[in-house]
Amino acid sequence: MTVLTPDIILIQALNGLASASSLFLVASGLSIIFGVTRVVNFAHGSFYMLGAYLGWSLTRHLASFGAFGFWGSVLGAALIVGGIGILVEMLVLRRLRRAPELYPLLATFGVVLIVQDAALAIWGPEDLLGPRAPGLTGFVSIFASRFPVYELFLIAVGPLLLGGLWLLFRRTRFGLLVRAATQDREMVAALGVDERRLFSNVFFLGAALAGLGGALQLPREAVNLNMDVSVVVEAFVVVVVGGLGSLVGAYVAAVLIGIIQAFGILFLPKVTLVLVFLVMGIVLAVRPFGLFGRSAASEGLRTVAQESVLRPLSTSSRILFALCVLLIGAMPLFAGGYAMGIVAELLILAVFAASLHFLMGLGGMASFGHAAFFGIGAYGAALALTALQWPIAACLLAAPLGAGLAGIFAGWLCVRLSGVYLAMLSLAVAQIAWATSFQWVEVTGGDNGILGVWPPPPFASRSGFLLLTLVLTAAALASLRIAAFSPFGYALRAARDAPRRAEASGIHVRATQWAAFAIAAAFAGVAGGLYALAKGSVFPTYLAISKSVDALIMVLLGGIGSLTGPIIGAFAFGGLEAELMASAPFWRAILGVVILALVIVAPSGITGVLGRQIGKRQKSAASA
Amino acid sequence: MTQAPVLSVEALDVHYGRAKILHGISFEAKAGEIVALAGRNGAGKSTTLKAIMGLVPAWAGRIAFEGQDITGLDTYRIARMGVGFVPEDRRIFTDLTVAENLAVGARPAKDERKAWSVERLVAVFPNLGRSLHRSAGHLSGGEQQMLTIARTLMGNPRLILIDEPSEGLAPVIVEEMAQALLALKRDKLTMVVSEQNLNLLAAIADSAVLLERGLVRHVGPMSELMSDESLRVRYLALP
Ligand SMILES: Nc1ncnc2c1ncn2[C@@H]1O[C@H](COP(=O)(O)OP(=O)(O)OP(=O)(O)O)[C@@H](O)[C@H]1O
Ligand SMILES: [Mg+2]
Repeated sequence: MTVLTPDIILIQALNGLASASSLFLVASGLSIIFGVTRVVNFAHGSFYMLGAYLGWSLTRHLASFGAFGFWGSVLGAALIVGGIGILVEMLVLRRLRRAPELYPLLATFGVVLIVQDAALAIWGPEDLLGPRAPGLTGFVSIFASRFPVYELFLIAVGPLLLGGLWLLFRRTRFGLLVRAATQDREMVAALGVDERRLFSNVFFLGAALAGLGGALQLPREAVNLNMDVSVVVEAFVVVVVGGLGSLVGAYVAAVLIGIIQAFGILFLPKVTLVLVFLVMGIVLAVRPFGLFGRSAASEGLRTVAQESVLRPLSTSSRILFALCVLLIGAMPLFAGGYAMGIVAELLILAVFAASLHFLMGLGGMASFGHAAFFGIGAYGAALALTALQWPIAACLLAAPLGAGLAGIFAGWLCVRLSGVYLAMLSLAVAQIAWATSFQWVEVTGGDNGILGVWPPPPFASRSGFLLLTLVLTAAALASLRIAAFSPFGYALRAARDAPRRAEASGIHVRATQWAAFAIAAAFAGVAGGLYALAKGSVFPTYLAISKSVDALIMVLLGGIGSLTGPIIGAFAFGGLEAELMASAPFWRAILGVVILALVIVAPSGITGVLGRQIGKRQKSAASA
Repeated sequence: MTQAPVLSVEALDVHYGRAKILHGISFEAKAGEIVALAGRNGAGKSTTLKAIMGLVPAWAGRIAFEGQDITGLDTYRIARMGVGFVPEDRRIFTDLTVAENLAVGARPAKDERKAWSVERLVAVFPNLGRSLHRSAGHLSGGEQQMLTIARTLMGNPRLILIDEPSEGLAPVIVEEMAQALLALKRDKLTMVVSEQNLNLLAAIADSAVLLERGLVRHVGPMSELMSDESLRVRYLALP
């Protein structure tokens, strides 16, 4: 146990404040961008990372200019990143202004992937060490310890920036328009303000702040390719805990998170990762709109573009599905092991995607942490099989049970919110699960995962496992379909489209949504359990954000307006990913481009496009 | 001399998703005139005003302002040309002060008319003068309505579209509103006012356009509507 001496307390507090400043630089930009444009910008971490890399390159080119070179580089990096922000806004987000808010969010994730590979291509995979800050290289003595002057400088940056932004927002016309547009951007346009210019400026400001934050990290830590996602998730936490759109809230939350991390490392090194998200969960459970937030900023996150009408399958589609099942069932007769393995995986992904679609398409609740339940299912099955030595049937039951229980808990927290807050809270819950799987080494094996999760005979062979998977996934998909058309499914859709009216007609909206959350989680657990057996191993990456995003992409790729969508999306995405990962060097960037193309060109997904084609053909056939 | 009307709407169609809401709406507003846009709930009054303002896309038809085609232009361009919009649900910026609300709307005047200033507006809306530096969220309903109109006037429009200015206001306040609108009319401002309150319309409007389920059913002088009870009963469900 660490002994708390006054100097340790002071030094850790100062460390916490220094991190808080960096976090605030990123979070403030994120908050401003969200406030005005309503875009939850996943690429904000990429702006931060680019700031660090560009700062690194610039300081090397300008090294001969001494202090001027260093500070000029920091500023230059911020400005260049600001310009990149404008580009992202103009080339991508501007095209999505009338799309449901989920689409811009996914598009920014596409940008994340592209920037990751671009940075890899330009700067290479090695960590890069930046220079020290000229003039701030010394230390001050605090009791018996030495504390870097640069950290003191950073501590001052946070409040200075807060003050600067306050002046900008109170004293300039730009700031006035930003505040007005944060409340009602349509009205601002009706008063003659060019929204597009305002958005571009806001993106410039937000991105430049993130870039500045990244560049200022140079003297503190090595520049690396993982900076983006870790910082953006923390910045989300800060913005949501502080209250969306409140800069003071963001600073207070940044300090809170910074201090918690600084002292967490001291006392509870094993749970530092969990701690941050736990705090977020607690704050949102007590104050759903954050410490300084107001409910006004929490408009719904529209998931469905137009009220989509679900139709039962036509006879021809039923026959088509039956044929597919038969074909897959007959695969052991003609296909090789590799093909059967891939198809089993695609079937599993289809259940994963369909379970998210149940929550998002039917329930209107966009979860950003659906992978948590997939992963919990995977760990549940794996632990039951390896540690507990349960029979296979019990293991496959443990998966949805564990995930469903987690879903009951997470749902209880999440359905009290809606829109972006729900998305962020579900992300926090998933991060808690992820951090647990990562840090609870005794049970989960930590980073090494659990190996040797192979199903016993007769399912040990590829063909046996494929048949098992086919039966279970077909049953799962059919159950989700039946649920969608059951009275419960109608209640869920009513709760999505017109919550007040649904409430008035006797539907308990929250209870319905809570149940849907748990059901979706349980089905994700089914998929996770099978996935563990298919892979023979389980890792924390199964619960990671990127897995949750995979699920979102599958749903949107297939088309959110139809129940078949997620299945088709899973096959298309899973197939594409298997293909890309096997062959293309920059598969992440390619995937990013695919996401951008998808949300910009075909926002209704594959089923939407197909439906339109079929509709056209029927029309022309009828008129012929 | 034939002068182009300040506003002319010809055969305007609007859809929301698959539902067709406006079916070939046509009407005009001449310079200095107040046109009443009347009709029951859901008749399409707000949709018409939003379509003129470019806030919802026009599917078919043509909208011209002072003879220039504005169909399909961006909202902010329409506003900058001189069209002001006062929405039905007020939509003031409650986080901003009254003075800041006015500042958001401020744009220089394009014609020789005397430009609006905060001082001139306070003369028309005295209540606003007393609370310029208070948060707009703390104003009463009537004051908020006055503020939305004042905010739009700061852009020095030559035409304003006002959606249900009397909604939810006490009769005394409606009377004040009528006086304010008449003051604007004396200033040669052209207006289209969507309204269900006949008393207000009778006090200010020159002509009336009656909408029913997205169709124009009647166009004529306001006096005709006031004298013809059958018109009112048929289209407004009012005696
Ligand atoms: N965003 C929307 N999406 C779909 N339908 C809409 C939308 N807004 C309005 N409508 C429909 O369009 C029709 C006309 O609405 P509008 O608001 O223009 O009527 P209104 O005459 O202004 O009525 P009120 O007096 O109630 O304000 C109504 O049937 C309404 O239900
Ligand atoms: Mg209306």
